[in-house]
Amino acid sequence: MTVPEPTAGPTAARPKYVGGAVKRREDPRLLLGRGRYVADINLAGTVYMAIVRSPHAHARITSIDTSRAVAAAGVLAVLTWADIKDEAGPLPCIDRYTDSLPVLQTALADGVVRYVGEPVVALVASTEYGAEDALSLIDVEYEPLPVVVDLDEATAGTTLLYPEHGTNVMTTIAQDVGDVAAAFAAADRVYEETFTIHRYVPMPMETRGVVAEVDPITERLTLTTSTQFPHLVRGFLSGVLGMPESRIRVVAPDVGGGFGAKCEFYCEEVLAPLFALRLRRPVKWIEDRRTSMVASSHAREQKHTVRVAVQDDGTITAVDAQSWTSNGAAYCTLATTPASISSAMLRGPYRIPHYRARAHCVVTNKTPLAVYRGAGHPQAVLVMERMVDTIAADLGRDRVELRLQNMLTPAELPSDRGTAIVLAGQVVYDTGDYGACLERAAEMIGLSGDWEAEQAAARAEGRYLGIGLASLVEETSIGPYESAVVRVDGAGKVTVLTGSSPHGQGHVTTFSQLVADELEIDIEDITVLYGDTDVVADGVGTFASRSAAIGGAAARKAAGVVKEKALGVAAHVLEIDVADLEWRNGAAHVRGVPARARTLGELASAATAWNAPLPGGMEFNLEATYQHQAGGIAFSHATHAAKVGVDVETGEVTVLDYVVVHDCGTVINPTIVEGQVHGGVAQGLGGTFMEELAYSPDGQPLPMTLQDYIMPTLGDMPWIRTDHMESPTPLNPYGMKGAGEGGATGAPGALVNALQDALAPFGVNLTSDGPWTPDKVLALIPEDPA
Amino acid sequence: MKPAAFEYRRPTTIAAALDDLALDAGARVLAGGQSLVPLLNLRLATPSVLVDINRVAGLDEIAERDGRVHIGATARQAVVLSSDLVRTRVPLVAAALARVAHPQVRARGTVVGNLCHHDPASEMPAVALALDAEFAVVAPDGSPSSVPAADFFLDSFAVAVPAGGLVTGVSFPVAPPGTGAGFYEIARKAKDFALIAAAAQLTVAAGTVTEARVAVTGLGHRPLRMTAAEQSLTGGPSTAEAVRDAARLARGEVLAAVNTRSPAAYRSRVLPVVVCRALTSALAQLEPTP
Amino acid sequence: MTSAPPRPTLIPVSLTVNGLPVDAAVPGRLLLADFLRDSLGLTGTHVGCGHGTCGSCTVLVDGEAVRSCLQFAVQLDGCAITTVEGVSPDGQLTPVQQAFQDNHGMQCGYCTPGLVCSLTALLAKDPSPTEETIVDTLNGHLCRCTGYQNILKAARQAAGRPVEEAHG
Repeated sequence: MTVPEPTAGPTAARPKYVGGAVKRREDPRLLLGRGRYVADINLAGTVYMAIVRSPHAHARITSIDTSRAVAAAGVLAVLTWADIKDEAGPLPCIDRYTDSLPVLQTALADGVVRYVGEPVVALVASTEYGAEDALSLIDVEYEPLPVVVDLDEATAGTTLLYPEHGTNVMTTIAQDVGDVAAAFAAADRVYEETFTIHRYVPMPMETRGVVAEVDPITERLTLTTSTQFPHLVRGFLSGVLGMPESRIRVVAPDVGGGFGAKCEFYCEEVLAPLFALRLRRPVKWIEDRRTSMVASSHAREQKHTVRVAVQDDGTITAVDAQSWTSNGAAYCTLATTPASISSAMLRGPYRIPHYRARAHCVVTNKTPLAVYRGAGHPQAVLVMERMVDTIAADLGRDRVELRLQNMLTPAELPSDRGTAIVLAGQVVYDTGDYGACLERAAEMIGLSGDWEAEQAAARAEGRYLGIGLASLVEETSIGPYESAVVRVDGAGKVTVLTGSSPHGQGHVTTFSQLVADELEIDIEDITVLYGDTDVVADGVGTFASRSAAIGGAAARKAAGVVKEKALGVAAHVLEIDVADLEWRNGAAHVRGVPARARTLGELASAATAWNAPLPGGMEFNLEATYQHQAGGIAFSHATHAAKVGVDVETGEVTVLDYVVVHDCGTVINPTIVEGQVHGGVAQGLGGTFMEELAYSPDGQPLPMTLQDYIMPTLGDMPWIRTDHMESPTPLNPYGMKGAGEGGATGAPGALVNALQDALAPFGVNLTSDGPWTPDKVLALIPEDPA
Repeated sequence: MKPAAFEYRRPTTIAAALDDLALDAGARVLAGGQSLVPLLNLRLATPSVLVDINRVAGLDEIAERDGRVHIGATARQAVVLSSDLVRTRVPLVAAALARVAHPQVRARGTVVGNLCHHDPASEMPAVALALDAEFAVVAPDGSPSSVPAADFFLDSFAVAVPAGGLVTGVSFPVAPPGTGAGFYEIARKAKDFALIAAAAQLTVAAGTVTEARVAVTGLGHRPLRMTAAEQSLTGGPSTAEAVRDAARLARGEVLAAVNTRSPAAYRSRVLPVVVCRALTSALAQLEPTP
Repeated sequence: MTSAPPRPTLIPVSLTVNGLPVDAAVPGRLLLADFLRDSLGLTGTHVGCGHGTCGSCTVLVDGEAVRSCLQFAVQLDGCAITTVEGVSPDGQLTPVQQAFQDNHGMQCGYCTPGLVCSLTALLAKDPSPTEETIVDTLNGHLCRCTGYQNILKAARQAAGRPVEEAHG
């Protein structure tokens, strides 16, 4: 641990917090059980919402009879689409392309249900148990319609979810770089493959929840919600209800993980306010785990076909790709982003000068699909890294060497890749040393020297071992901007407001580190506030690995402005030219006269002294607001290396070793970065070996509980070894890139390649991300492996 | 996910428990609750009366009598697992119980409750079948009977207890001297429900197998005894080769619908493997330790 | 609109929660987790799944770690409950809690109180548990943030074992 110690004298060099493994400041209260998540909020007079959801994947609602519920004791109100259609517009989709067909959700089904779990009727009762009791008193009749859950069938369009559009393909995203046709015509070899990526989900440990109330003093609506982006929710709710943003306060309290599932705007965030406005009582809804299986966004499901043009010397010259994303029943808040990222980022760290992609977003009778840690990256990495291994094997080339041959070198950066990501912009790789990262990972996992001999010897003993690699470049730190306010009180204590609202990332610690270094003060003197649109006027949110780089840069910039203001105040107080002052150790010092100094607290007092006001033109505070605008996307990179062992009698796979070498630019806190990597790898491992949100052919989701949707526990995890490289980005003054998603992005590719390597003697060719459950693995192995 | 309303009863005697169970056809017994309460919370079970037997005196026994180890209906899995009596006298019970759930669940869950719940992917029914366990059942009129494991497990989530009756305990025969126990399970993740699991117990005298007991869970609606494998071993040498040969004889009808966690073809294929590994583990216990 | 729901039969219970006596009358179906959170305001106990799988709601009942979503409050008559709020009544981090902070064994903090309760119960019974016992205990908890490695480190530290080593 390298926690900086406060220095003794004013002239001593002060250690930096940034880069240090500072212990998290948010932990003690969470460890003592003093956290406050939405479910923990119990306002006086609270009533409870429950929602009748469709049991059908596709059906026309023929009748809704709420009379038994309305008459029941304890039931306070019931709403159907007919009751709210004049008040509640469609839910937004913010990443639609201009030519996307409009398939938006409504807060309650508008006559047709298109997935199991779609909200049909909402009610409020006086107790939580009673609200659930009342669900059985709502009578809904349905006329079933044909169901389509298979991606190919949906694309073919024989069964349509929205007949008025004549197709289930709602958007096709195009990426065109170079001359793909010419490259294929000139290619020595062409490799073609189809990959399927299954549906799995973020599943944060805290389910979603909302509390809506009308503030009795201001008569404004307060929505407390488990969200990753409260400020955007304020705007969405304003748009849906036609209520000015000034009449809405949105609060994100402690949020128990999100991973993308809470980077969505949901019907309950509309319905609870509608009830609160009617009843003038606080309305609470907490998603239960069974409901979360169908009511929180799903993720990942795609199909890819790729053709790769390769020269005999191993140079990959072109990729021609198509993908189809199973978007579920409608466009949600972030609907096209996974397809957009997959298509823009498929080539990863490889040069591949010619590239064409068509990414189709297809509606299916499933829960709407949205972003999940890495969004479209993990799928793209799996596809590309499987292809590279296939090419290496076919050419008889070493897989590290072939990768190095095709990787962009530091001298080739920055590199405009010619593709674009929706909401984020042009893909221009900024900095990094992809090759060095790969070589380090290969060395750490033991993919050198004796590996092939070790593998052969193990096979002779019936132990099937494999090593897999996945090198990736990922979009992080997307804009458009993030806001921060830094404010100093008369005691010299600093308050930082950030528009980036965390849910486990440790903003309080990392933002404190940045501001403490800028002002050269103790970290304990800093308070970080977030998550309340009335406290922090402006903000964007926590997603797309953006908070440290964009929000952190804004906070540090704001602190820098405060420092300049403080120096100006000091110049006035000390009656000296500001050029003769320097900032050191939390105080303004007269150059060459160390004893003549004013501390931050003294300067804040001077700036706000009502009985000794500053001269005209100087603000009556020590406060600054800064909006850091992203000048482009910062691209982090990594290589994951996994070692697995396969029990060829049972198909069980054990992950024996796991290495991540990654580069997220300047590291603020290595411990927090490692934690992000670990968590992401666990989610990628879960998706690769166990997790699946599968559907029956008639559109029924199969998992109902966490006994069915299984996620890794400690016993399933390898010991993860990490190594950091630092290639600062020029896109912010401090060099930081994003670190939140890389773990989940690289794991599926590395693990599937490792499994492929282990099973290579059986002539397998893995073209799916799994989940590689024991039965599926065993099916690849002949009955008598001897 | 909150349970529907029910009437809660907490009898302190078996007679009172039977009276409470007689209140309504929808009455159910609550012991450890680790299988039942999830069903209540999901409203997959909505009993009208819940009869909590945790305060019925004497039901928490773990005792040896008449050559058998008796485990009462409210004896917690954690207590059973840590019992020296169980570990030394019925080692197969301990071997399998370590694979049942997690410590936090075993702290409340009961062995008898787990067996009466009879999830077809559960570990303990295979042990009960392999060891010819006997269930102490009390009929609604108070008359006791003993039901052998072979007759107890009727179907998935169904056991041979008359409506309004109560299981007060289960007993397992004490392992004879020279016995080794082995349990092997394939699951989707650490400590998950079994996809398939085998329970095996071998008794050996002078290098000859005098008794072999093998049963498998996860194949169909009931645990299955591997009689061909048992017969192949009995009277023969206690060698790894004999175990391998016997495991190849493992047979049983594998039903697709029972266990949606894995296809029937998979369970058929790994059946001999899990039997072999359970037997091998049992054999290993018999080898003199260096 | 304000007509009262049918009044459920309330059953008296007397128990001890975090060292203090509690007398209440509860409906039979009230889960212990809801009783602690909603009736007593002890919201440090979190419900992650409501069916006994995730371990977030783990509390100590008579010293043993159990799932509070799988117990009815009425069953706890006469028992002593300790929630995460009672693990450290003076507000100072216990060695178990401190180990989580020291090793970054938590991120969003939602599953953390359950883990604190499980490890507190384990170490009270067995101050020097084996690695196997630690893993067995931690396997009873789901965490979606940390990937478990730093939780294992925290548990090892609290158990006085070497923190940094690969596990088998």
